[in-house]
Amino acid sequence: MPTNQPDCPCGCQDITTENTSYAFVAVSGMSVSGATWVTNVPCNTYVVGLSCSNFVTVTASPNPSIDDQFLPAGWNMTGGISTTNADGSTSRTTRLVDAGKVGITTVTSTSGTSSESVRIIVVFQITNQCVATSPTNQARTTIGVGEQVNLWLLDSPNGTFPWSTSAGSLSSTNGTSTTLTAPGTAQSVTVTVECSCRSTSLTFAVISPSGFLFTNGYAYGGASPPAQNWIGFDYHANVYVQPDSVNFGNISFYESGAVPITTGYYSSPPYPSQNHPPNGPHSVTSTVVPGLGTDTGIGDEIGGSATVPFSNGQFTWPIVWSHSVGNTSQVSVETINEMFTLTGSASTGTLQIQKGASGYTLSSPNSTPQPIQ
Amino acid sequence: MAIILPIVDHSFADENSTDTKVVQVSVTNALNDFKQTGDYAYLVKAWDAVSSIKNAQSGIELKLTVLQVCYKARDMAYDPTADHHITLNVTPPLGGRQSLFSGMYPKDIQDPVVRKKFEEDIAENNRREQKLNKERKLQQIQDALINNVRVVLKGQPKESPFKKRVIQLIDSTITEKELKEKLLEP
Repeated sequence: MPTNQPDCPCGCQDITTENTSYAFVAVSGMSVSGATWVTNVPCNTYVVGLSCSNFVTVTASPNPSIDDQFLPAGWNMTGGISTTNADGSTSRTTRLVDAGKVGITTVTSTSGTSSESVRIIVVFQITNQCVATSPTNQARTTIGVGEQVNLWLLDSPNGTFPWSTSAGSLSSTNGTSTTLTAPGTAQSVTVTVECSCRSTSLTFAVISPSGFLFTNGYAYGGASPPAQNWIGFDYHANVYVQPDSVNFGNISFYESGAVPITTGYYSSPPYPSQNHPPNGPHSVTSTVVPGLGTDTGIGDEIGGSATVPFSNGQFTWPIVWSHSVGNTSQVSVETINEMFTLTGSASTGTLQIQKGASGYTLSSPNSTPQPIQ
Repeated sequence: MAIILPIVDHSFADENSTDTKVVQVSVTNALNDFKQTGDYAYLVKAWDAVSSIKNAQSGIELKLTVLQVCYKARDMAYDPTADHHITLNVTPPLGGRQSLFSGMYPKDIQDPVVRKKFEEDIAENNRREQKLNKERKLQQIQDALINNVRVVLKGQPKESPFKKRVIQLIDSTITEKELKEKLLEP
């Protein structure tokens, strides 16, 4: 009896005839090297990134463990590419899968009624993850101007691969990973990575801020006649960059200068010549608040006063808000009015102050402004 | 002034290319200027320089060096995400004989006492915003460089020799345990 013949310790059956022992050989398992097992996927699946000159090795294990040459005639292995043993014979327990060809290969080993299979999936695919952790969907392909996205080739294939982008910039233009920084203007951006035998792309929709949202914070410092000879107050507003579906943490924003539009009480000098100075650039946080937008983290102090005697009138600064990314030029987003409206006079007067969607109002003889949002 | 950067004796692919050497000189000069002046604009310059290296396996040591200097330049007692009472516009002291508006020019205020207080309030607001901008920018550079190194590591196969060498470089270049841990987070 050959030395490597089985002793059947774990499940095979010996049938002893007068002179000879026969063993039933089963396929006990399949092992794979050069690819990664995928959890929670049926059919014993492994995945490997495209690698033009590499192979995945699939090895079947007989039970009992015996040498290739002693496998019964009913032992069969299909799928992939056959390979040879050291002695030049064709291996009956090992097959290769070409990692240079994208697709699915099933390798099956059969012996009698026992059978095992593995699926090898060769991929050449970009995976993407937005660097900002809010919004929570980091797998999105709609991104804000200046936003960054990490890109990898799925399953880290061996080798170095050239990357390119139609706009914006990449942290590296070779390798298996890179980071895309979106351009400063809205457009479609396609990132492409190449292998000597294939290329693959991923397209992003880059969007600009659609607007700036003002929300009421707190009001303070209110006073009105008859306790004071003036009416006025301050309030704090929070400012968000919209929409909330992307992260605008890499933009800067600006307020333009503005010449007032005046009516009534404010039509007389010096008010028509009291301009608003431009300001900015202001930075933005990387936090997106659902329903609001990217939090600028910088509020606005909005307030004013009118001295008795006053009468009906309105003072409005139409302020153009713009944004920029890095050293790019400013892009206008929208005009936001900062508006002061007086009605009545002295003991019956009301001052309403608004900026964007935020605002408060105060009426004599009160000292607590009321939100109008 | 001594050169800050160590002599590279374990170069990666293209580490000694002309482009990388040019960047290395730019980074070295910028870091030295930062050391002399304390002006974080030089750190931004160093960051811009290392960001121009487009070969994934080049400039890792330069990036780690800029990261280390940037981390040390941070004011760790300052939280850029906290409310530092910074506003886009400032309201002048209300009342008096003139109707007033937040965001007006100080020169349009007639009362010199009110105008002076308004100018001081604007200057203080600007000072707070400059501090915020500095810390936000340093945080941005730090986060970008950490992300850059982590993406390079994540893109490498498990047993990649390059990956091992980057980990060795992190160990030898980065002195803060917290920063090392961030770089090596899976």
